[in-house]
Amino acid sequence: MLTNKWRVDFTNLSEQARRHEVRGQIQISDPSIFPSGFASATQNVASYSKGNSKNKREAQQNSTVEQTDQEKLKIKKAWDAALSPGKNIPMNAFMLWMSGNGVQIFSVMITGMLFFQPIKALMSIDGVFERYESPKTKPLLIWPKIVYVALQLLTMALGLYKCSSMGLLPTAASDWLAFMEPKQILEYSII
Amino acid sequence: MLLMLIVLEFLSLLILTLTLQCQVSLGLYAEQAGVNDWHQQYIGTPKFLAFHRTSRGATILAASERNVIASINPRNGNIEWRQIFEKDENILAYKGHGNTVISVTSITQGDDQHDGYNIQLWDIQTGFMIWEKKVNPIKSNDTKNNSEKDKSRIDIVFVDNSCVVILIGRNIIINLDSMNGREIWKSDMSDSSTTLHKLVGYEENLYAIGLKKSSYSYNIIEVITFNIRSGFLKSTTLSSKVNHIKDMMVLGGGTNTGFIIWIEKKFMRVNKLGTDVIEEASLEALYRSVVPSFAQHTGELEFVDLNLGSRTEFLAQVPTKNGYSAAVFKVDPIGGRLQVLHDLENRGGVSVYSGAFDKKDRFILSRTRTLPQGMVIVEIVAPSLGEVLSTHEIPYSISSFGEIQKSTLEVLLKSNKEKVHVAYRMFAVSSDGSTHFFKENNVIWQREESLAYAKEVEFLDLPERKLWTQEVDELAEQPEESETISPFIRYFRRLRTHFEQLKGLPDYLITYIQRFATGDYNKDPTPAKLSLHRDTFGFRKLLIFIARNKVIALDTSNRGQVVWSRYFGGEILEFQKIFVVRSSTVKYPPIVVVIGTQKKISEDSKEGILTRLFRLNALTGNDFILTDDNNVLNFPPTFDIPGKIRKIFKLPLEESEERTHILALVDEDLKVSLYPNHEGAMKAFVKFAPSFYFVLTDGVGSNFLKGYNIAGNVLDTNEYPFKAEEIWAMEFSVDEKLAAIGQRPHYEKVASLGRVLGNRSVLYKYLNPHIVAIATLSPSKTADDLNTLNIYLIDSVKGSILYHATHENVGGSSSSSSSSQPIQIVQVENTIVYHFWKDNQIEKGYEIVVYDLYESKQADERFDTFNLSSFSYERPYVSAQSFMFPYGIRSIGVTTTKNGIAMREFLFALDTDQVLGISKRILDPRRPQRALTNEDKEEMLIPYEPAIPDNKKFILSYHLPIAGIQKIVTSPALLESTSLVLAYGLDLWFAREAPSKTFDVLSEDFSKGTLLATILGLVIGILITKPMVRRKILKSRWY
Repeated sequence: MLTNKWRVDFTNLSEQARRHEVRGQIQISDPSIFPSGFASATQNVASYSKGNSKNKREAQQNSTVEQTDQEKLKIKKAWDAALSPGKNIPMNAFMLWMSGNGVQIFSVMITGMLFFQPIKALMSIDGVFERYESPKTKPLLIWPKIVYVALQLLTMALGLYKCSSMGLLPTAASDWLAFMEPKQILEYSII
Repeated sequence: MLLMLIVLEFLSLLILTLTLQCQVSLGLYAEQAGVNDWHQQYIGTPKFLAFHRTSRGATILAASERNVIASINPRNGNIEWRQIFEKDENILAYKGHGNTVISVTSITQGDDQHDGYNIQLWDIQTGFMIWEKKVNPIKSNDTKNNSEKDKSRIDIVFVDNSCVVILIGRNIIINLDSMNGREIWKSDMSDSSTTLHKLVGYEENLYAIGLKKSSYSYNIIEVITFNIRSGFLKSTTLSSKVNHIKDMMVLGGGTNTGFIIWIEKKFMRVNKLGTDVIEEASLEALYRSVVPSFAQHTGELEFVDLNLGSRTEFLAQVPTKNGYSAAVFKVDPIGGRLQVLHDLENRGGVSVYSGAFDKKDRFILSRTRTLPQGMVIVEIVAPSLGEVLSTHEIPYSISSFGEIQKSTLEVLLKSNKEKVHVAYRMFAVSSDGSTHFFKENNVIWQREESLAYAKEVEFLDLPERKLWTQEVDELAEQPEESETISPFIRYFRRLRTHFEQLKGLPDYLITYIQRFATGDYNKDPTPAKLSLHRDTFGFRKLLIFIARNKVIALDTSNRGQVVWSRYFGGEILEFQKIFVVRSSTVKYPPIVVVIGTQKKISEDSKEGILTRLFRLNALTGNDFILTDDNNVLNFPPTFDIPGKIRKIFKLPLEESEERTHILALVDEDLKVSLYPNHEGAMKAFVKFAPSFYFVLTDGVGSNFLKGYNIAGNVLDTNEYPFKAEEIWAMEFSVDEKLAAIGQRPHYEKVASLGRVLGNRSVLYKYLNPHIVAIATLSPSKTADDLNTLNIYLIDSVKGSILYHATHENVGGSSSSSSSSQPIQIVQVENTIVYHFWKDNQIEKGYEIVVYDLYESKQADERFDTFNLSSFSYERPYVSAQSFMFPYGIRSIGVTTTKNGIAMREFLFALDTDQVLGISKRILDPRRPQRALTNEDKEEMLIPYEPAIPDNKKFILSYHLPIAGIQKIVTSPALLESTSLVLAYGLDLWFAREAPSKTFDVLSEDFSKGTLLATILGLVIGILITKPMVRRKILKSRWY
């Protein structure tokens, strides 16, 4: 794994992203380090646009419109991301159907994948929605996240269903047979 | 991706079907025959034995008490051929002539118990029958007792090469053409009071010599003369008084004139056959002066018949204070005078004699004596020269074989100018029934023929080698020592043990690698094969047999070699039972107890029976004596109980001191005594007794079962022996007789409490250990000769009938009838299997029925208790199915594995001398009688077929003829997949059987090389690529 001593993320210019650590002190990098010709869409740009107040106001107005558009877009994208596991469900279902109910290496592998993928995805849920995060969108992202989690759980449920149809779930009496204690015999007889 | 998936799916299906195919395939490759199994052929104790020389070399002809005739190769003791007669077809005579050998057997013809005789001529090389002649029953009004006596009077005389004259019965003489068995003439003198004993053929005449009852207490010798071609000529009587047949002997015949010698009062008289001349010699003179060693005689003179054919030498002996004195006599063939050839003197004890001729036609005599210190002395005597040619001392174990009882001799003259040297070969039978072949000073081979009479057998696990070595240096310490010893010293001892074991490391590594490379696990990591210890997979066990009055231990892994044997000649009449009371544990040697009966003459000279128990060290066969002085009294190696013991049980109890199982002995008065009977055992038994129930029955043929337990009040009063109390009785009507009794083997391991069905529900097995399946037969109401078979499942604790089934028109009967088709029954886990002959209008053939007992008919339902008591009202659900069976059987066995996981296989001893293995999957009542549903397939059921397939691959004994199997016993190995199988009766056959294939062993064709190469390749690959990858990562960081 590579560990970075320092890093600037040019794709994300939020304050949070520009925040970096130098010798234990947190600093926010100066936007002036931005390469020439780079236009920032955030309010930082506005603060640098010097002109009359009208312009300024317009600019301000424009920027808020742009901002809300951005946020809408982010939410939309977030919903896309949230729904993407759902799209895999039919595909997975088909694969499960194809692999049959026998306990073989392929069906077990596929079923295993159905458990590991959602778990992995749920672990990295913050990473998935991080890019759509902003102070304003943050409370709104809760719904896509819930849907995302629900869809992942659905995928897992699919795996569970597969397990049960393969007979891997200990639901029948026969599954507990081996743990059953033999009856104690009270008499001893011999012929 | 989908396409790939489909391809993979197809592949996986292919693999699955292939593995399923493998499970079904059975049988054995030709090169595997005899690798994991061994077969020992026996004939039983010979009662007729003779060397016979044909144009193609010498052979030993032997006919045994087990109704087997055989030809044995003298070089190695192998059976060249043998023919086995029916159980009731006794061999009465067996005699070789030229390239043929003739046998006379008694047969029972028809229902009215009339004896007939079967005369058969066999080819000596191949054992094929040349002709057979049945002689009709004798129509005599004699009682059966009388005819029994007459059976022994069989004599065979071959006249030149064309005909054979046979004396059978009391006085029937039959002359048969030796080429085809056609009758030339027959003389039946049943009306006469003469009992004929001997035939002598000389020139054109045949003399039959018999004793005629006179009005006085003595008999008169009668000689009946026949013409060989035409039959009866005349009958003459000699003026003679013979008290008993043993006082008369007939010599000669063939090339010499025949002579009759008999003892009359104080004279030995000789008559030349065909004349009236009687020569005589005074016995007084004989005793006093002629034979010096006869001077000390204490009894009468006895003749010893050496069966010398046409020769006129004979042997006579007199008892003296210490053993017998013997002398060789000869009748001068021309003059008919009696001569004394040689005085054999008294050597003490009993000698066994046999005679032969050397190339110069001299008579050579062997005198064989068994010395108690373990040696056989064979003296070769040439009576005509009057000297002992050679004396041979042969090492011999009298404790294993007893004394030599019979012998037959063959001599070869070795031309040596200075001295006559005679090489001899001797075939001898010892009193335990085994046979020995002596040559010079050696035993060339031995045949343990007593194993043909094996009654019971126990498998004995051998101790582990590792533990044995530790035992020597660590565990041999006494309790007092182990208390005082400090942990440090013990630790050093352990270290020392390990260092000593380190010495064996190179050897171990070498054998380990060899074993790995070859896959041959028979090769032991430690080379010494002589010591008795367990092998890797537990295939090596001892088989401890009781046979008549002998105990024999065989090693299963060395092709059934005898490890030890012990003959209890004088002490035991016949052994009844054997129990392993202590199996091999770390510190203690395993112990077996053998129980036998002995005729006892008590002080008031009343004849009684004594039951004797012997406790033996199972690894050596010696009496097991404790070294600890305190225990000796409690635990004697030999233990006698007066009277007959009705039943002996091995209890699931261990006494505290020696950790042996306690035996309970129930005598005729229903007194239960214990063995051992010291305080510890007593205490354990008293605690156990309230839950102890036993069933007594007189076995097959009787018509009752009775259940007992120990009377409660007796336990309180501590009265010993304990008194048993009858708690239930089951008596059938007079006609209904027990035909077979099955019982679940004690100590069986049940892997699963239920049977899993296709839909993953469970049928719970009814595992009541008290269930006894019994079969009874009663005469059928509808058809003569046929029976009704009743099957009862009885709870042996309370005597209730849990299930009852009947089959009509069943053949055979309980042991009384001769043409019996015995019912066979076997029980294992919750399964009962029985086999019978069915004979009605629609079907005729063998039928096999299998029951599976479940707790309920419904799946997932069981008796809701934690205990299983016979006194609760719970009845099993019986699922039953019947099949047609292709063979008649003698016995049924079931495989046992270590944990009972492997599928059971039923082993059938067929009446074709083979062992057939049928899997429980085939003998399954759940086999559906419809097309298989998916659930049935999941349960791996096979569709029902009415007949058990007669598949030759199911024959476990492949081409071996395993004669006369009486029982099949099994024992688990350490491998779960494998069961050890032993079939015994006349022959012994031992094999390993894996009913579910050897799933826990890599198959022989598993390519270990490839696996090793792959692993090695991977390791090398990792070693090479690891630095490369590391370097690459480093570089990628820089650039």
